Amino acid sequence: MDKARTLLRSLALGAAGLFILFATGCTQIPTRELSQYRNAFDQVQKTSEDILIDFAQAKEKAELRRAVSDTEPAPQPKTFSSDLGGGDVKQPDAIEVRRTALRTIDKFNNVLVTLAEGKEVQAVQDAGSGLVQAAGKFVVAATGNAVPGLSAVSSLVQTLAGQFEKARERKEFEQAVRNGAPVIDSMLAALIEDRKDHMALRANEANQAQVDIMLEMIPSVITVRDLIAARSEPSGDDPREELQDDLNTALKPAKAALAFNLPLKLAYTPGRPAFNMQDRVLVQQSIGRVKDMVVKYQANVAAYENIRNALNDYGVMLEKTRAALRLLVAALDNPPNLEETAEDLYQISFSVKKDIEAFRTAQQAAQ
Amino acid sequence: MTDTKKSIKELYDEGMAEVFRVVGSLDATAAQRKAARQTARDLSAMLAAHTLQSIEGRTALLSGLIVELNQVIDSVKTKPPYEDSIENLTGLVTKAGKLYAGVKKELI
Repeated sequence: MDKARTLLRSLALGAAGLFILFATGCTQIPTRELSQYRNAFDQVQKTSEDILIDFAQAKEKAELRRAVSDTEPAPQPKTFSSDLGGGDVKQPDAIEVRRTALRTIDKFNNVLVTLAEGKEVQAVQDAGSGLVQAAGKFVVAATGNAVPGLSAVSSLVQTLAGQFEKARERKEFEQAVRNGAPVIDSMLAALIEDRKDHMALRANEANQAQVDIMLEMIPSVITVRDLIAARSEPSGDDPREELQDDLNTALKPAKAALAFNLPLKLAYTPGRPAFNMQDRVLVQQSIGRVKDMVVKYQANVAAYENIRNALNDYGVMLEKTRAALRLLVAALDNPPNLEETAEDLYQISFSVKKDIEAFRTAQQAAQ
Repeated sequence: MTDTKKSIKELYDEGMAEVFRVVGSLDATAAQRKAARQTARDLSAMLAAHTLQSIEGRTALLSGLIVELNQVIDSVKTKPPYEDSIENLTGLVTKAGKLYAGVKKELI
């Protein structure tokens, strides 16, 4: 009887243990959703590249602007140097650092998804070596002694590669990924913060463009106003009201940039020579010039709005990526359903691309 | 935003607003317009220089993060959570299996 009871207890214990092991090992993995998320993240990469291209252009223009403003020092005749030369260290390229940072985040994400999909250690190792390669390129881009301590970075990359090689078990990769998550999160945070500088550069350009546009537009308005004020009412057909309406209609879209109220009243001065056909042609030409400048003004405003929308959406996209990575890291054994996140990332990527295209078109029209 | 960054931005915004008032006015003189154009250029150059400096700073930050990432990977050997409990469970199942085999032998 005792033996039978012991046997039953052993069987029950064994069954319970096996059940728990089975349940732990067979967690439902949302493979399809993870694959969608992986594809959506590819899209995030491509969109980020578009943003970086614009960032590079904005930065280049700002560098020119800064260079122009620098007061040129008197030229210094060159002396022969006793230095052997060849020791100049390349400064880290800001855009290349960001581009490779994005690649590193991509590869990290790849390791995460591979782990979440429950793949074999070999697959995780392959994804891990991709991360090592991306990190290596990142460091190559970042190497340059402008950043203190970076000279030792090359050996650290070798350490990184070594550690991934040593990580022969899935649990070691999981731990590496969990520990690396805050660093990747900080990289994303830095890229999110970057948008403010990107926007500052583009807003600065827009302001400068508006100054140039207004400096051409307002003198034409003054010409119209002064030319009519220098004349008296003609005896025949009087075009003043028609010209006034035309000018006010032309100026209306640029109302926010004007330091005077609309409608602008045009008035003759009695006793002056009568307004004639030649005056009319001159006034019409000036109004035509105003119209051209208002079109440029509108394009400049549109360019500013489009890049602002693109950068705002880009921020949302990076925040969503951050949230998705946190979710994945927190639940590697039981991956969350990222279908909705994938769908959102697709949608935002499309929106960012659309805004960047619109920005480029408007920017060309403003020139 | 740091105090310096804030004050530079405030200075820029105030200066640019003044420039806009002049270039959008019908009463400003040619000399005033010329001065406004130069002020806009100076303000623009100042902001560009400051923003570029901020970008360079963040480039350094991003570059530094890779060092951290390496250090993190370096400390991989820590045991992950639940590892002990899984080991205990496996031990329990092995023990139960041995018990079953023993009892079975006795019964037969």
